[in-house]
Amino acid sequence: MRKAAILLLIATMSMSLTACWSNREVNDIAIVSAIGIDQGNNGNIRLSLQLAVPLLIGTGSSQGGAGTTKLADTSGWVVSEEGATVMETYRSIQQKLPRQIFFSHSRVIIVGHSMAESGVSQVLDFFERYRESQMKSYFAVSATTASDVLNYLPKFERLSSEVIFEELKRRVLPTVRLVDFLNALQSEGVEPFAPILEITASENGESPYKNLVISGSAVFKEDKMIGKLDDNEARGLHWVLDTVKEGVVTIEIEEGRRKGRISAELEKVNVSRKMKIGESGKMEVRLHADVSANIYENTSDMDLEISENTKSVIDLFKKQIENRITGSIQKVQRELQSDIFGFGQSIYRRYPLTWKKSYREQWDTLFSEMETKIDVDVRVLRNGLTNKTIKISDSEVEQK
Amino acid sequence: MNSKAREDGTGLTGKLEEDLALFQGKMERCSDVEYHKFTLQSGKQGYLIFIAGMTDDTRLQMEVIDPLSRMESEQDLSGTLKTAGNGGNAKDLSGSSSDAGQLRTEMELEQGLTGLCKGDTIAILDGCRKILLVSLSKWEQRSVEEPASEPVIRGARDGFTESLQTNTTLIRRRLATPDLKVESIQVGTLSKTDMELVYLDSVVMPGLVDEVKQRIQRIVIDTVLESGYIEELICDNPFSVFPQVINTERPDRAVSGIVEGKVVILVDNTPFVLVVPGLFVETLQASEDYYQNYIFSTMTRFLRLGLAIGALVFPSIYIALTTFHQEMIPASLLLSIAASREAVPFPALIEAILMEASFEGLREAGIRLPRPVGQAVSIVGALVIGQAAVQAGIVSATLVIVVSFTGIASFIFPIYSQGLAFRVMRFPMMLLAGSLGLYGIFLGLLVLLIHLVKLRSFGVPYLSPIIPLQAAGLKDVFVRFPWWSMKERPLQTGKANLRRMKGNMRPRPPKS
Repeated sequence: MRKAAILLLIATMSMSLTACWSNREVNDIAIVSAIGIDQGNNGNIRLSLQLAVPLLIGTGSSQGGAGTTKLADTSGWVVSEEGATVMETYRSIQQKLPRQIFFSHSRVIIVGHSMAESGVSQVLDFFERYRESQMKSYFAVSATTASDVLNYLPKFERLSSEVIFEELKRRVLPTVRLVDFLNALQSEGVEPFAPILEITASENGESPYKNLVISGSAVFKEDKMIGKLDDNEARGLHWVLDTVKEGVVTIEIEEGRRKGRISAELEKVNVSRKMKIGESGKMEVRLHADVSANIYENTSDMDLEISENTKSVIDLFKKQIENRITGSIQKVQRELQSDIFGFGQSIYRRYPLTWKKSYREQWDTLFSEMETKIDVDVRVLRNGLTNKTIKISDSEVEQK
Repeated sequence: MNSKAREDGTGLTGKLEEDLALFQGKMERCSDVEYHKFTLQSGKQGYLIFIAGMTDDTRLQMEVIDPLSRMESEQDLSGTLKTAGNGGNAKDLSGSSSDAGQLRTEMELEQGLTGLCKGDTIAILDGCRKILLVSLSKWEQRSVEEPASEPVIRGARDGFTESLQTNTTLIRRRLATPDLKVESIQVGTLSKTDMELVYLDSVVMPGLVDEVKQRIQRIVIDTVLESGYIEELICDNPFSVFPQVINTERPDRAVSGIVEGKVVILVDNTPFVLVVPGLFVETLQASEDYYQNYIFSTMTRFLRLGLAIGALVFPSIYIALTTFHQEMIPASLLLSIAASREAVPFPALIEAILMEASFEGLREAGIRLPRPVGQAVSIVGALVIGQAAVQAGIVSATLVIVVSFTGIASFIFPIYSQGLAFRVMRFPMMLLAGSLGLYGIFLGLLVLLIHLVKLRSFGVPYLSPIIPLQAAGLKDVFVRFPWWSMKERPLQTGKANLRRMKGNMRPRPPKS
């Protein structure tokens, strides 16, 4: 008994010898919510950290009664510094801060346009290697500089990083997490891409209010950005990658008395790809898109209760989707020549030996010669709450 | 035998004045003892000795003193007293070896005195060496009330009282069978506390009664004021915080234990009876679980289990996450925790210990304080700790939520003493979390688990039927199966007579 008591005492006392080793209180850390990297002077990099200031975030009740003035405010604080490496720069930012910089909750890593064009691999190494891992955070390219995006004053959310995070999470256009970006960078047969963030005016023309939007995708070759896809082309990329979760397809109706448009909301999209190598060694990719959609807007006078009409509408939808995908693929194949779709990787998976023997080395040229076949299946599930369209009565038309 | 007693100096001499002096000598400086002299019509004199306040005065007057004064000789004496004690149901009384409940004769002075102290009335007579004891005891008693520590919505409202006899009746009324045995044991050299072992002869776990008797007979102690004394003196592991003996104020709970093959120990002067062996899972089962809809009871059980774990580790997880593993907290939650902790001057560990301690203090004060003041304390406590402390920036609002949740959670145990164990263990867990983080929490939980697995109550593993696993026993652990499917008694204690229900009892609509 006495021995056990002594043992217990020693065990308890040794516990206190650790002295709360590596302990850090929540109010001793500076939480980084977003990281921005730009090109600095003399080949240096400029690292900007958006720090969340908890005092400004408040607990709701104690900070209540904020009016419109509060809208122009943010709880974030951007601190930046120039240096030779990310690590060194981050230490020199730390020098200026009373709290320990804490990277684990960084939502997004943003690279400035010029930085992206000159290559990102040397700045991303730190984020892959450091223990406060941010592999989960999103990766994006700013249309201008990264610090512009970080300094955006949000209307919704307290921090611009939250705005970016939520927008990227909604996946209206293809987005990418750092881990996926790095994987694409390091795998053969696939090249990375990243969404482009841009600050635009809320309304047309000059508006004091700005929006932070995803506009298109930046296409990389190796680690250098070589071009961009606009919104429509980026949507095509979305389809090819089978990452479409929501979206709208609109077609034009030319026939009938009243011309108009029909819009359908995508309910479920499934895109599968099949790779094939022909006798001549020519590669072919077959994309099959399986789409279910609901029609929610019809401005023409087409009666969707007639099955022939529905058929022709479906054909138009097919064509529209096909065009969207081919447009994107052609642009990437002909102009950018960077396999962001990962077709090479798919071939590698299907024909590993052939890939190693004859394709790997010259994939860049082979990619642009690849043939694509697209095959779309559309099902219209519902026509919305009504089958009729808003019609001016016949008699009134005749009177005119 | 008479002569032997006298030679030892422990009996009476037969001379009235000498015997009286003997009693008076023993009961010196006992102002509550009264001596009442009576004379039989034959001229023989005697004394009635009793303690004022422990005797039924009216009955003493009507059934003893009045008949005595009309009595011819001492031959009638025993008969009269017998009639008095038994409420008119006289029996033949011959010799001194009577063991009839309400009237007995003793030779030994010591035994006579013990009887006197327990409320019996003593009669001594000139020329008689026997001490006659009439049980006319009566004192103020609390009536049967709803048990304060284990209230229910649905279920019996009667609770045990301080009177041993009442308590036995409460059990007997629920089990009308001669199979129900009530064995009496006395413990305490000064208190001479009566105890009763109650069990069903055909159901009780084999060997359990002997083991309980043996453990109780071992006890030599001056007083037993409450069943807690016995509990601590008979448990298997005296160093454990966990209650290895269930204590309850509810007769239905005690009876359910008896029916499962357990032994119930009733102790005089306390409403808390002991049920042995006590198992861990029982402390999470309320008697109401068996009266209410079984689906609801199952839900309540899961809730209870979750809250029990919460009561043990919730503050420690808060400490571990906020001081070591901030990356594990979702980003937006971390920001609001950080915001609420912004002005707090203490580290999370100190903050949590401070709050937990003040909550425990509040709870303790709530019990100790005189009723009229009690309400004031709860208001002040809620205001000071809940609001003012947060506004003054001494503690964070998040922590107040953590502490109040834990506070509520620690009260969900149907067996209060298990709640105490969890409440105590919370503090070492907090220290472990504060020094080693999540690693410390799991280390602590592991040590607790090892202890619990090792623990036994009267030979039955404490964690059974979970460890060692008995599949049939699980019908009444996490879920409460409907009554018609629980056909057997729990295996660990009901081995002697497993079947408790016939065939298929599931109710069905009549076939027509």
